[in-house]
Amino acid sequence: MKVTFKDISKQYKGKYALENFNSELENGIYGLLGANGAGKTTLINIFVGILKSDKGQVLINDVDVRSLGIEFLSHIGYLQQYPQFYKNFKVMDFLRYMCVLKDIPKEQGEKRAKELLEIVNLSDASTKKIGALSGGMRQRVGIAQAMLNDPDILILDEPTAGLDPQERIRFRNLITKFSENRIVLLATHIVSDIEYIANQVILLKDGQLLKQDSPQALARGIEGKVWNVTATENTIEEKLKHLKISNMMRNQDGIHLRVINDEKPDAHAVNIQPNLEDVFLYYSGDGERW
Amino acid sequence: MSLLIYEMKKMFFHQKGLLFISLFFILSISTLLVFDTPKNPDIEMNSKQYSFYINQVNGALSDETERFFTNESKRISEANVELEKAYNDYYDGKISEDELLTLSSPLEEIVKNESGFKVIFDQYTYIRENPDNRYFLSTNGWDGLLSTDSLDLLFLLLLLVLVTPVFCSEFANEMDSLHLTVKKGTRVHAISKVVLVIMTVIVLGLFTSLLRYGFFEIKYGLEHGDYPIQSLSYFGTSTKSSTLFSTFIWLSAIKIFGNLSLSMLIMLVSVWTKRYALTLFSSTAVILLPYYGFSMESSKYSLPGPLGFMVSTGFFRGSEYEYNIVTDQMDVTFEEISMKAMLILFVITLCISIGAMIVIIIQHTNVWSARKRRHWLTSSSMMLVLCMAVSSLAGCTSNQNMDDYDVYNYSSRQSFENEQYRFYVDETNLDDIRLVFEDKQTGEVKNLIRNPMQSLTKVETFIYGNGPYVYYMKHDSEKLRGFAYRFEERGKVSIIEVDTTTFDERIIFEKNLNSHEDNFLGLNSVDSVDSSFYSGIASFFLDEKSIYFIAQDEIRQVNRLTGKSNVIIRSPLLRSVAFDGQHIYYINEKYQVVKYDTKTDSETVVPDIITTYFVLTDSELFFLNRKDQYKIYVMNLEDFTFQKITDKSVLNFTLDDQYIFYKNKVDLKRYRIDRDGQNDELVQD
Amino acid sequence: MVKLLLFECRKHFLKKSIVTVILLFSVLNVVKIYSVYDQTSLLSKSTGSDWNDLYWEMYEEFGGTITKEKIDKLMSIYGPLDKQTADKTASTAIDNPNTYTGNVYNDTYFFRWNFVNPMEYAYMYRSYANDVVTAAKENLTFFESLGNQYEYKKNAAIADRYIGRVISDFSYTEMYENYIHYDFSAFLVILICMYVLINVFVSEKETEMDVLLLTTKAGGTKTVIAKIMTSAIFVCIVCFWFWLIDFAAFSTIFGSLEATSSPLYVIENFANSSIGISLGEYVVLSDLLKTAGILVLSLVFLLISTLFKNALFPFIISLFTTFGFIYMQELYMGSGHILLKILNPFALVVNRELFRKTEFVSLFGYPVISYVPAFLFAAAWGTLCILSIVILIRKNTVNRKG
Repeated sequence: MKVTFKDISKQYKGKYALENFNSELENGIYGLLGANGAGKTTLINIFVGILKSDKGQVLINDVDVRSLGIEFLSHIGYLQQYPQFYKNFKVMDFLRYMCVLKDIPKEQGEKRAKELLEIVNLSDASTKKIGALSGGMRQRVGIAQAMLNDPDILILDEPTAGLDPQERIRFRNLITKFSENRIVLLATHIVSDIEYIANQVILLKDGQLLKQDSPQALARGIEGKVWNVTATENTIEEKLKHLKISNMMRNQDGIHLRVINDEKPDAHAVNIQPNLEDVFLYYSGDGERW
Repeated sequence: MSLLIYEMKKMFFHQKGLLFISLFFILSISTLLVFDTPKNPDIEMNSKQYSFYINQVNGALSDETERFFTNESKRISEANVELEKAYNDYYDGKISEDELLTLSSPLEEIVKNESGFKVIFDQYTYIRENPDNRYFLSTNGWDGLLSTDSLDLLFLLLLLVLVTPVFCSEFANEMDSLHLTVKKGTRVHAISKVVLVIMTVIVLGLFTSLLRYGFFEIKYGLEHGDYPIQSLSYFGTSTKSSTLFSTFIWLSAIKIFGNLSLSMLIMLVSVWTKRYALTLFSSTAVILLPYYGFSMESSKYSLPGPLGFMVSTGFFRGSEYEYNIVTDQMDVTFEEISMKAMLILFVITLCISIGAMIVIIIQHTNVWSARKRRHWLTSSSMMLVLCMAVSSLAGCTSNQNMDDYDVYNYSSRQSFENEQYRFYVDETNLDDIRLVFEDKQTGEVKNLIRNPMQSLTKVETFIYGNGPYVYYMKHDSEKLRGFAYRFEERGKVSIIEVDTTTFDERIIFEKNLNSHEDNFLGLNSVDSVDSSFYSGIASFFLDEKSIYFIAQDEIRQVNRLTGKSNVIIRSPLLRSVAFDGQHIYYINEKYQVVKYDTKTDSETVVPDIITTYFVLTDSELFFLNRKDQYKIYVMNLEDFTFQKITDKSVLNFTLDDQYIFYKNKVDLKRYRIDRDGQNDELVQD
Repeated sequence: MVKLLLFECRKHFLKKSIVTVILLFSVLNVVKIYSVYDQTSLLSKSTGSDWNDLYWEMYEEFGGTITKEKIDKLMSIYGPLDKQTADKTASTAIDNPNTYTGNVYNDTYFFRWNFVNPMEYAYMYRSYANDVVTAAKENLTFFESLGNQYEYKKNAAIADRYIGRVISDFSYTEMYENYIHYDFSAFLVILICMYVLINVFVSEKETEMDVLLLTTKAGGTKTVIAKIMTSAIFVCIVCFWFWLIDFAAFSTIFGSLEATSSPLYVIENFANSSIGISLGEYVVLSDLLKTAGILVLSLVFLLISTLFKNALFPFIISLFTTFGFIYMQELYMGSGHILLKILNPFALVVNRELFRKTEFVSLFGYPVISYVPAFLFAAAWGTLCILSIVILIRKNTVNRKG
């Protein structure tokens, strides 16, 4: 399975939300990373067909999605941001309903729904009303419904927003589990969500594609640009003003700053191994200057 | 199909649709049961007599029926005269009882149904105007079913509560975007919702129509559905040719169409605005503003959009006019909607509905599956709906005790006496007839009506009294210029209780006569037939539950609480009536005194009295004995013994505690005699 | 608090859709007023007789202070006309040069309805008022002898109110007559209020701001009060806007502000009015009371909306309740059951019913003129609603906390 984005553009009131976006995705997990307002949801909405792009094409295995028409939708599974679903539907009922909407034959749907509930560990909650579920459980129902039609492409828009660390890890593992032989496009601004599971990261800024590569390669790309700098109460103000800082920790021997800078910011600065967060910060513009 | 089932589940269970539908039907049935009044109450109150005639003349007016009416009318008046003569002859001893029987029984047979004849004769005068398409039939059932132009507000609320959440709930649950990404979540989903709404509205419409049909069939009967609609005066001037039943079918269909187009509109607005409040508000405004805003009834039918179709009856009505006394001309009050206009409206409304459906579907299309979007289509359909919305808007406990109940006599309807006062009608000044009272001790005469402000009030010249309470009847009216000139009589009739110890007044009965134009929305309707009854009342009396109104030839019992009325007594001439708190005494056509028990609704004939005039007291009945040359007799009500009071023939008489005052039939002079028949003397006036 | 009010205002009322609706309804209102003029005014074209110009020409002559000369002159014109047309045998020619309108009948109707009848009423009112005072004074002695203190006081009040009533001027009253019998604008305002106000509490729930609000210092009762206050301000503004349009439209369309200083009872329907203020003053009073009535109704809408999470049921229930109020008001319109009439807060909206007649309600044996308790009842309803809102909102949120 291959998905190609060709020159996708979208404007809102004269401002580009997405500008000439080009990318190619093959099986694996793709982390769509970008600050708030970078164009992640716009891209996803255009991809799933909720939003019409001003320009550009989406191809699946080199076939224009437009020519696939409604059939395209059987290839995708989608989970939107902050899903509510129907509060007064029972979990199993909701999945059955989604099976109908996804045109899945009844028996097959029933079987699949049960399987998925097993996988997402919600079998016990299948007769509970959605309104009574916790955020994490509702999110798991969400991914189960997205997986109902066994899609080739799974699109998740900020699926871990609002989840506790345990739920988040559980959710991450689920995604990995589901990523076999399919494309998973996961939009997020939480770096840790994709750092260890994404095969590729797509970095977006102001509607434009900045980088697309594996997390490791991206980190390698900024090797030598991440520094550990120790500052004192006297010098901290100065440093905060001029340097891009990804972390700050205070202990007995001073204040340790994790600085992203092309050059060595300070004579005592020590070069350290970059991580994806550093990459995100490095590329997402001005970074955190305090 | 199963998608439809899920949508049904959502609508009927999750959104409590079934609950609201049941509530709607319960409320509808109770409104029908509680508020439905026959359009022509005379038919119901004289149903037996009426059906005797209607069964004979049913159908079109033929020469034969015309002859029938001329003959019957003559026959009845002749029979009345003959009957009177027969009884007179009998009581005068000219004929024997057997002869009377042979003479009277066929005559009685003729006059038995006179009250029904009056009702049907009124119909006859209506039908005579245009006998081609006006047929005789019992109209109340069909009138109840068809002759109403009120909007079913409950149904409107039901539609709002059912249809609005169809799309709005998806937006509220933020399911709209998810739906767009699943195969059947797009158009199929939207179509299934629309189909469900269409099916629901049709089924509800059919059930409502059936319910009404069933109700009126059971309550009044809906026979002769094949007669022309002009047989109902509501459609009297209509130029459309249609039968009653087919009109009903048409109206039901048109109503369903109107409701469907409203549902489409609601769905369109909800898809557009995605918000409950705005959807509900705009849908309500589009219906209610023109409905209440237009002063001329027919205007709401000449608007494209759901309203006219939802009300529907106006499409079958003819032009109507009313007399305007300002200009001495006839003003149009309803302008007939031509078939062509109706078709045009239908097509426009249909286009709007289809447009709405297209917009709904377009809004539910996944970009990838959309064929090239036709912007002109979207914008033009939106324009169309907008135009429509704009055009639719541009229209802009009683304290008496049985034991010491004061006896009422018709003859003393203009006077009443209690321990302290004597109440009577002062007719000395004919321009200013007043209800007055005389203080028995001082002899002072004062006005009974103490309200100084009388300019819009007319007090009737009869009273009823019981113990310290005196009752009078008044009409209050409103005076408005302009449109008010079209209506001669407007306002209320009320019966006031005056506590004569303090002269405090209390309203015990109130009835609206003729609808007020001066109403906020006009939610209450008034029967005009009732109004004419209340203006023809000769006297009244009452007990703790009911008020009894005496008209020319009937006594009507009206519930003091509910205002429901029914005819309890019928007699050709009610000029001697008495009431003792439980029994009504009156003279029937055989000059017998009949005692009607208001508690049990049963009648007994007081034995051996034949009279034309009587006066009841607490224990006795004074009467002019028809069998003894109109001499005054008295009968003891306990042991039924008779006693002759006078030896002279008497024309009429009155009594007080001590004396009987009578007018001699021969010399027409007034005499006074003791109640036991002693001391007969001439009174000098 | 002022800031809180401003924020509430911005949140709920300064919306495009609301402004659009108000403007659209304003236009509708003017159209409706025109149709009132068209259909009810004797001077409008649709009466079929073009009386407008002639009326104002004659008005020059007969308008103003009623004098014997004017009456004589009017009768010298009308008397012969009336005689001529009494037996319906006069010429029906429509181009008769010896007439004002071209036709004898039309002349008769013109003078009868426009001048003779209204002037007769105006002229006779003095004697009517005198009669009322005489009757009331007679009642004083009568009820005193009976020891009926209530009726005594009542009649004393009547005599007091009617003494010296006189209509000295003959004026064109059609505009005021129609204006004070006009209700459609109130219906429009009620619809707007219903639409706008059900969102005030519901929108906080929809955006789940209600929980957040509770955690802030001013978020509890203070916000609720701010909401109620801004709602009240909104209702008042909308009301005054519409009353202003009403007045402007009526005076423009009828083309007259005559009779502004004439007493209220120049309107025949108000012959027994309890108040003797001028029409101009009555307009202000009536508008204030109408606003108060709609305010109470608005509080009912607010109260209903606090019970639900979305706008669907509040709207339907509010609509149903409004119809209920209107139905009850209409049922007791003109009724002598004064208490039942004034218990309904809607009585303030159709307040002509309170002033049309002089009616009293017994309050602890003391006769109180009906509009006073009507206002008090409405105020009680309003207070009850406010209290319920404050209590309900608190409870809801406390529960949510748990």
